[in-house]
Amino acid sequence: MLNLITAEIRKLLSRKFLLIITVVLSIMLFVRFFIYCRDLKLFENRDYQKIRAEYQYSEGERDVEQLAEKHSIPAEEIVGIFLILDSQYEYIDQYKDFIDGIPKRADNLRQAVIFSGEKSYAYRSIDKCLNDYAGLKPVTIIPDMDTGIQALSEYDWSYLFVAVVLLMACAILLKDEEDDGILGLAQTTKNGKIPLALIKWVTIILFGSFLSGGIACGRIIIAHYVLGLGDIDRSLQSISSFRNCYFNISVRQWLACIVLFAILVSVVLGTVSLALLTLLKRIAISVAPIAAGIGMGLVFYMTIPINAKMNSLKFINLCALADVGNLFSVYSNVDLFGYPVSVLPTLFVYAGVLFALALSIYLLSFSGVLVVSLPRWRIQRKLRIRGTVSVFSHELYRFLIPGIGTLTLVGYLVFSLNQLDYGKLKLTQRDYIYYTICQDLRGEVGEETLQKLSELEQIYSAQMHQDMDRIYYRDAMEQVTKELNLLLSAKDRGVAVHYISEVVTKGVFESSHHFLLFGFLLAGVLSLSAAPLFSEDWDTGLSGLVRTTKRGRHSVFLCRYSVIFLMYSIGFFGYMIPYIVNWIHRTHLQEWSVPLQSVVGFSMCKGNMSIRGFMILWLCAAWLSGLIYPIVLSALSGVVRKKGTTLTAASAIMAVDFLCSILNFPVLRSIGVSGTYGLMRIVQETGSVAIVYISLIKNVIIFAVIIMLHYKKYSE
Amino acid sequence: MDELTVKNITKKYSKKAAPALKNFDYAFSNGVYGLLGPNGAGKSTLMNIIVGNLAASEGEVFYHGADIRTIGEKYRSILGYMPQQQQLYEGFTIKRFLYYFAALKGLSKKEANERIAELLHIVGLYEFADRHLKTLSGGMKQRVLLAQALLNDPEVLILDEPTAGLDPRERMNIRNYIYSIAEKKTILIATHVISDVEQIAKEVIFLRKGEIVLSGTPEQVAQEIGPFIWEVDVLKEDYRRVNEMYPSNRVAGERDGLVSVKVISEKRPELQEVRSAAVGLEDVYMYLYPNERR
Ligand SMILES: Nc1ncnc2c1ncn2[C@@H]1O[C@H](COP(=O)(O)OP(=O)(O)OP(=O)(O)O)[C@@H](O)[C@H]1O
Ligand SMILES: [Mg+2]
Repeated sequence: MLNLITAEIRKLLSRKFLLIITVVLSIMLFVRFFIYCRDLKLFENRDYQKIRAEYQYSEGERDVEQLAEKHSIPAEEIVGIFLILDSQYEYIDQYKDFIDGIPKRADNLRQAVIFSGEKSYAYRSIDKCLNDYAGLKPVTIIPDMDTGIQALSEYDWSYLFVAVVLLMACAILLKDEEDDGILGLAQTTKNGKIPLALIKWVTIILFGSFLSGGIACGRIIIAHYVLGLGDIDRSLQSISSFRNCYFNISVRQWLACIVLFAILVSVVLGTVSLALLTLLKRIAISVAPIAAGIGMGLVFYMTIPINAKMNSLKFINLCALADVGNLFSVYSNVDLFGYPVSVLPTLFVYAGVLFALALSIYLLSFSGVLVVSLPRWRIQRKLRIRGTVSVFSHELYRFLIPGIGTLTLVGYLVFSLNQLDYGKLKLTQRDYIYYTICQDLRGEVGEETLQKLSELEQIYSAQMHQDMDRIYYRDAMEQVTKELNLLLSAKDRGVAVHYISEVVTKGVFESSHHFLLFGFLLAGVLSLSAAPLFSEDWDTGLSGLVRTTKRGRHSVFLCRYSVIFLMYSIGFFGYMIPYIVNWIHRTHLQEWSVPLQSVVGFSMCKGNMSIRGFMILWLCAAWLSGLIYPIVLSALSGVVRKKGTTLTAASAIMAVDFLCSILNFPVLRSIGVSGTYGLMRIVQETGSVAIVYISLIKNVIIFAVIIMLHYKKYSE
Repeated sequence: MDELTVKNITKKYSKKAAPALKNFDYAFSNGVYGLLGPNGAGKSTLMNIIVGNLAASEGEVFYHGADIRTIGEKYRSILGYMPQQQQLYEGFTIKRFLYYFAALKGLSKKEANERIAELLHIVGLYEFADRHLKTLSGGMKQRVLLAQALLNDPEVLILDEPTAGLDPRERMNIRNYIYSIAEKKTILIATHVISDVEQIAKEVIFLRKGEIVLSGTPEQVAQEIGPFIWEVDVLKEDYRRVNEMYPSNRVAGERDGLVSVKVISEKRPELQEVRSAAVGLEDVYMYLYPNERR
């Protein structure tokens, strides 16, 4: 038995393709989460711990400067930590009131729903709510670092990736090597199939559990190291966003729950995939219900409000199961035929039912008891000599069959949709004050702006009472004044700059590292799936044949490059558009046409360019630069004609290029192809807008030269 | 009228190496041409040059009087080529492979549908159209490649060892089919299997180390070699002795304890009852390429 399972696992691991996808996508998930955490980070966990200790001993009195000196922590950071601590200690009192106030609020609510009668859902919910919280042992709230927990309770999309990988793994395990049909399960012998079915099932479950458990643990570790989780034995209610949680549960248990539920989701997904694949026998047909199910689930889960009448659709849902970490913080009941039922148990039962159903369908159809004959599938199996005579579609097919490209693109689109979630501005108290000042100053910079600033100064200083706010306010004012001075000096040079809040511009203009990383990954993975288009011809020796056909020279060349362009562009714009959409959300439209120097980081730049112009040029340059890799690789494969050498050479080029772009020499950085992704920073550092033009022209030239050389070589 | 003229082609793969093809000069009209020669004689090299895959070091190839390099696409659209190799795209089925090449050859959808169905029947792969190429046997791959060459109903058909690895029945089918279409086409077949071209070839060309050693209609070449082919009947026990004296010989048959041996020799062999013999292409081959390992 164990041997058989090992054999099946080996079968999975021997598929390089599956391994590569798993590894690449996992890395992408982790990198994304890492970046997400780093963006949330406002101060170091250990600084927080030090200040908290001080805070407890000496409540009320706070000499920021002295503390800063004592612990050698920047003053602004201490101010920020104080602010968090204030709100945390405030939350302790507030939580007591919240729990004590439940019965009273329930009474009030009863009055309000009296007309619906005692048999109504609303009435029953009130009773249930009372009971739920009555079971909660008095919990002590311990304030501690909780940003890591906030990060972890964000909606986690990784189960989508697990679903894709599991589906592929299932297809691999079920595929019979002898048959060319996708799932040629011989259903001749009806007995003796169950053990084999179970072995395959266990393999999938193991694989899925390791994968999803690994990802969940990885996320926890990242959150712990980057942000900090605090004392994990404190009650979950210690985190203010989990106020409504009515389970006696510690953070430690909550973390375990996250991992367990991730595994549970993968178990259900794996079993459902197996069931559908054995039942429907074709990947293409089985993917549809899975994708539709997940898609609909996502829409329901994301759009239905928690207390809506139809919230059963929201909560009885696989996509809710994937978000259990967050559900602990929500107090809501599922409206099941007028009866309020707790969300988590319902979900559990739902998962169990789905799982049992899927498992039995799987076992039954595997052993041939349950057979679904798809009428259309029969017809399809009949031989039809039909096909396309478009070179482009054939090349597209060749690009897509290895699957790496396809999956990466899908992954990118999912991730980039994910980016849209961060469209809303999340402001800290300090940033909020700063932002309010900025909003008042928005517009063209001039003498009036200074005047307005001093007016604002008077208004605000009259309003500010709390110590904290005063510090923040002073800080924000300082920053605004500094920025204004920079902008004014740009104005003196004759640039009609506008004042735009840095909070707004940061998202786009300070994201070089995101762009660099994702651009690089996209280019890398795309290169790998683009290279076979040309290199396979040389490897098989079919190039000689292709080249002797009527359209085997320019048409083929053109079509292959078009496929690469198209796929790359989908990935590229899929990733970039969310940034632009976010930016459009946050800015007034007229701010697009103001000079680039209005963005404070660029205020020292020379040259004439609007923000819009800069963005367009930059996008073009970045778009081209990412394309260069797949093209270099394709061209190399046409010249070198050996796969191994091509890959080595291309990896070497990429590695050197990547090194150039992360090293701190502006010249080297801007020479590298991938340097374009970090172009924004380079422009800021060198203060020359011309670099964008140079980079664009350089990329166009590299691009054109490589394609021309390759074409010459190809068509000679 | 000459369809295809090969003018004085020389091909050197590298400066130092001996040329793979030396001053090859030939005119092809409609009909089947057999290209024969041992391994490394330069057959594939010649074919690669004729299809425009390889640039010749010297010389030109003309199609209806025009240099193929200048007419490019027009020439390639009447060309059918079956290369010698066997590796095909991994992820393709037979059908997709053929449609891919139909696309490359610029066939319309309707033409492609009709032509592919027809050719799959001719090469006997109709039922296997949905099979993946990697699951095919060598002979099946060979037939897929042949079907591909015929897709555009080419006027010039270049086949590099088309029957390698085929079973006798398929070999016969394909030979017959080629013969049936040969009237309006120029067909050049490189092969090691003399019987592939013996009965259907209009002319045969023998290559050695990149040079033509003999060419002409099968009758002409047989006549030329005729004086050097002898036949003798010896006792079975004596065959060993004959074999030692005349290494270039072949056993033609055995009857009543007597072995009939064809001996290739410029001079009349010093054996009893030697007579001159009917000459086949196989004898010509043996004469032109004596056993050099001895
Ligand atoms: N790509 C190449 N580079 C260098 N030399 C080559 C190349 N291809 C062929 N040759 C040499 O050219 C000569 C002719 O080779 P060619 O392949 O044309 O022979 P052939 O008659 O087709 O042989 P076979 O019967 O084995 O197919 C050989 O000596 C071979 O070594
Ligand atoms: Mg050859």
